[in-house]
Amino acid sequence: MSAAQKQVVIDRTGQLFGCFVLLSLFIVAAKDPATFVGQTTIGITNGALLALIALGYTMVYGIIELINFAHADVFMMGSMLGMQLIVSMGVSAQSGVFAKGAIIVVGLVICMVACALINVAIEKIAYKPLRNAPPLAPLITAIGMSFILANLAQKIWGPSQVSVPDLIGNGSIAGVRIKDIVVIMVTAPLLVGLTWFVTNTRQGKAMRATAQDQGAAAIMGIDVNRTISLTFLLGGLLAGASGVLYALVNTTTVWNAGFKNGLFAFTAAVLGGIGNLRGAVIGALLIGLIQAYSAAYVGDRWTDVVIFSILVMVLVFRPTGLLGEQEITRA
Amino acid sequence: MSDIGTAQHHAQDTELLVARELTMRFGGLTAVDAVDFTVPAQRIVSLIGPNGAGKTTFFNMLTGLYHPTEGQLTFMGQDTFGRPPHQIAQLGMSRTFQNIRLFREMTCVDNVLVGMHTKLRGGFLATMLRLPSHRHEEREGIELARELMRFVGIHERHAELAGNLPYGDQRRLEIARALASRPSVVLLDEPAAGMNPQETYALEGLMHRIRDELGCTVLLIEHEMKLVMSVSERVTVLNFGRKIAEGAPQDVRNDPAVIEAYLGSSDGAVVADGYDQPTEAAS
Amino acid sequence: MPTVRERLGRHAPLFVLAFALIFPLIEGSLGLGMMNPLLRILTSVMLAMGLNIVVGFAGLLDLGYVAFWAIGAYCVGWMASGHFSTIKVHVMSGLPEAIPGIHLSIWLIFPIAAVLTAVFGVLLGAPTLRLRGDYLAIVTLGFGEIIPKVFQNGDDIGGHNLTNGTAGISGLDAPQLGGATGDAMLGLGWGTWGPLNLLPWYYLAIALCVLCYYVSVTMQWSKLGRAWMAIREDETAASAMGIHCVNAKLWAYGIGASLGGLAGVYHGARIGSIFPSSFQFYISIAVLCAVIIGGMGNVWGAIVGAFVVEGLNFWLLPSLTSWAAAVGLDIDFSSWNMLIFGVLLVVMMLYRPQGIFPSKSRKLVFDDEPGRPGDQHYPGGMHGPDGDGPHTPMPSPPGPGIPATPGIPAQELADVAASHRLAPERVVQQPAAPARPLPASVRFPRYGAGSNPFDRRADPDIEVAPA
Repeated sequence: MSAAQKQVVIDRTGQLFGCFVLLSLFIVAAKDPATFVGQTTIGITNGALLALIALGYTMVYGIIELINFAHADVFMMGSMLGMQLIVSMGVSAQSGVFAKGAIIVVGLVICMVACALINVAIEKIAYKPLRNAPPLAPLITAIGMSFILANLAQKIWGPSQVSVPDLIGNGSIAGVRIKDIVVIMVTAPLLVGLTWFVTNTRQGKAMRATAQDQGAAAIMGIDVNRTISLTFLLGGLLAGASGVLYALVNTTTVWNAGFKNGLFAFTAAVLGGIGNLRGAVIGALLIGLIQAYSAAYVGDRWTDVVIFSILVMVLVFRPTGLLGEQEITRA
Repeated sequence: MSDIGTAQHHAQDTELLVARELTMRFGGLTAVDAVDFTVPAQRIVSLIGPNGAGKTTFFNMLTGLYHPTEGQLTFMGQDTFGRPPHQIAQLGMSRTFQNIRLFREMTCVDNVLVGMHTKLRGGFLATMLRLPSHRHEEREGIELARELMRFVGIHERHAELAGNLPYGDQRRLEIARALASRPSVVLLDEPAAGMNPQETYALEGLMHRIRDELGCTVLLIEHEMKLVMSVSERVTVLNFGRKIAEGAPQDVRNDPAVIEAYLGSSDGAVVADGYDQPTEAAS
Repeated sequence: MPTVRERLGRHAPLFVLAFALIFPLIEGSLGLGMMNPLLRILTSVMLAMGLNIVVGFAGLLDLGYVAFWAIGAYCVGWMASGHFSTIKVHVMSGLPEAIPGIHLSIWLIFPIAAVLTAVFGVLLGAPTLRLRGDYLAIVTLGFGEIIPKVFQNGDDIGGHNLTNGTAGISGLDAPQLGGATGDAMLGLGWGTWGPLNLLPWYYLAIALCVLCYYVSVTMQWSKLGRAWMAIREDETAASAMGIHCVNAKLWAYGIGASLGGLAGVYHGARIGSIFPSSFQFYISIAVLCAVIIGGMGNVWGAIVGAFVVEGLNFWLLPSLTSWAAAVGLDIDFSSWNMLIFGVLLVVMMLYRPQGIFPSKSRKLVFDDEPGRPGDQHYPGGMHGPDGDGPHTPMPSPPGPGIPATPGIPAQELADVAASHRLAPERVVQQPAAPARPLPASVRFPRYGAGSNPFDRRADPDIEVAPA
């Protein structure tokens, strides 16, 4: 049996399994529609947050083929900085709507910029000198940077959960939580903006060209180093936004929040086909939904196992992701 | 075009390797197109052609690195079509690579010992318990590795890391590594690339010794036409994945199709680098 | 003849072992109080040697090695405690038969756990075989997260309490050496090994380290070990040499995992209780850190790396904290350990990626060697066609145009030329004009990048497929 035939068998099995899962979901949804709808909105919100992180992974992987392990901790820094900003500005759940709204907007902007700068700094310190080293070397420095950020956060904000003032509240409009609305309102423009940037601007084209072939891009006059920095900058912006939203939605954050969410987001990026921006968003929404459904129907404590199992299965059986096209046979 | 170059060897020739209509397609591109090819025992045969003609692809199919799209492949009387490389290597085929692929962080001796992999028993228990059989085998292996390195002329350098050898010695070490499995066919992919004329000349002698002293068939891909023409007993020419000529060197040299393939370089001694050929752009 | 230094070098492991054996005397007489951290460090030494087989020898980056440690620890938890209280199984436990649960002698658990973790190593390794470097890392990381989670949630699997959940398994049997009679016969007076009686634990750790070292070194210079390194260097070339890459990698996973399992058994038995929360990603990274800092692929590197990393973690930082406290400073150095590891990893990769002890090549010394490697002599070697050149050493003239390539001695060529049927004029010409420009047909070296240990991009021989 050739590799292509094997892949067909694997894909068929996967599709069958997917159908089975959908069918079971349909049955549980029919039994208790309210829970199902509630879980779905939670899942979409989670997915939107993960999408912002996953885009950072997928862009960086697309351009320098590196799993930016530290990216998750940049996200965590975003949530911590957001929390710090809110707390030090004295805004709390009791503050006026205007103050809350202002701090959310300002906090988002500041944290996005800060995370972008952190991400670019990481690239300059830890990855750029290793551009021509074997790919394992930057992966190991990425793990190192991740540890450094996590430990710093632990020292600054303490080893236990830090609570964040609940600025958005638990109200809902037409059955949809305001939190979910806020997340979608922030995420959607960011995603649209990113897509526009990558497809329409000169810099975006430079990014895509560099992702295709660094050497050729350099010959065409593209400043490869700057383009790579730009990629990290964009990834950092999105991770910062995701971090702040995460803190606001969960009203709590912790120094190791990055690890699990980062792995989930990476799973999403892999699921959508790493390097594929749209794939990362769809993958993230899928992971968010799986997370929510699995918490409701399988048991919360098995969620991690379910998602890590998906990660392993996708990487092993369909490394190009669900959306990614099969590469032409390469040994 | 005769199937086998030198007529006087006809009677005693046995075909070690037979490829029939071997085809390799990558997506829409047909890299090797229905090539018939045989390798007789204890001969030196060459495969030539302009860049992008499909020579290395053909080697990769013979050695199992590629799964051919269509055709038949028989080696040592066994069907090897689509078999994994390690199985084909166990049957007695070994090779060198166009861009040297030594185990750079291993010593020269260890490189050759890896080449001996298929001939060593190396049982797990015997190894773990360091039984006398294992120690004996290792000692013999190292001795043989040194013999082989002496055979190619680099035995002074056994303790050096392969990656630290000068270029020409790396090529020789790769040949020693390929010979270590005592193969019946050794495939040399552009062994003279990057060698100076003296080294190329010495390489010719080495190929004769491989054939005569080790009784091993040499299958050669080479761009250096002087070497090909003087060393080969039969030459096969590929162009655009098709076999366009086959026969004794002097016949092939004068074949109009071959001359045309090489862009009119009528003496066939200097190979056009092929940068102006459409195949190069496609591959 | 080997020099004195070489002889000393060859016996260095014995000196180290001798020092390790008398160390408790030194430690005891000086009252250093470092026995407890030392036992934990020695556990990591075992882990590092096991991981070195997977990462260092075979080049498979495993970020979930902690899983095998956990499985080993749970083996002893299951097989030497009252956890399965509904059954009574006693095998050489030295305990009263009435005590419920499975109670095996620890000396039986070691081999059982080694086999079991090897099986798990193969099972977890098998799906990853097709994967490239960084994907492999992530999949192993996934397994490293899944396994402890399964242990954590294992208190209710189909109604069965397999692992007692987050509470873990405690009250593990304290081992004995040969039971009461055996102990008396050996005259060691160790009795039942408790948490305060550290000496037997120390010697057991040393024995296990010696075992791991023996396995590592023996495998390294065997057919299988060379196959691992060949795969690490260039998988395509390795398979062309007849190496069954799948099998070789599975062996690496299996043997690496079983060493991790042994360390797990030791750790579980020594601590006397097992908690799923102690098998974190962080442990995998600490061990990886040890292997990288020591020098991937070097057994002594792994040992020293483990001492550096875990010595920092379990001895130096806590000691610094207590010394600081003694002078009235309240600094918790231990809580900076992740930052220190992070900096170590980054700095090592940037400035010394090969580690403290780079992967060393085996030095084979032959008595019949006239010259040492690196000498500019080329006796024998490649001769002209049908010829057999003189075997006298001769300085090699610089090759024209290719500086790093030593040519064939001119004299040799001339000698051979006489017997050569085709090209006497060619041979006479070449040495006469060594500085002549290269003919167009001679190509310059094309140094392929495919020789990089972990390089997945460069594979020009294979990746000729059009994009």
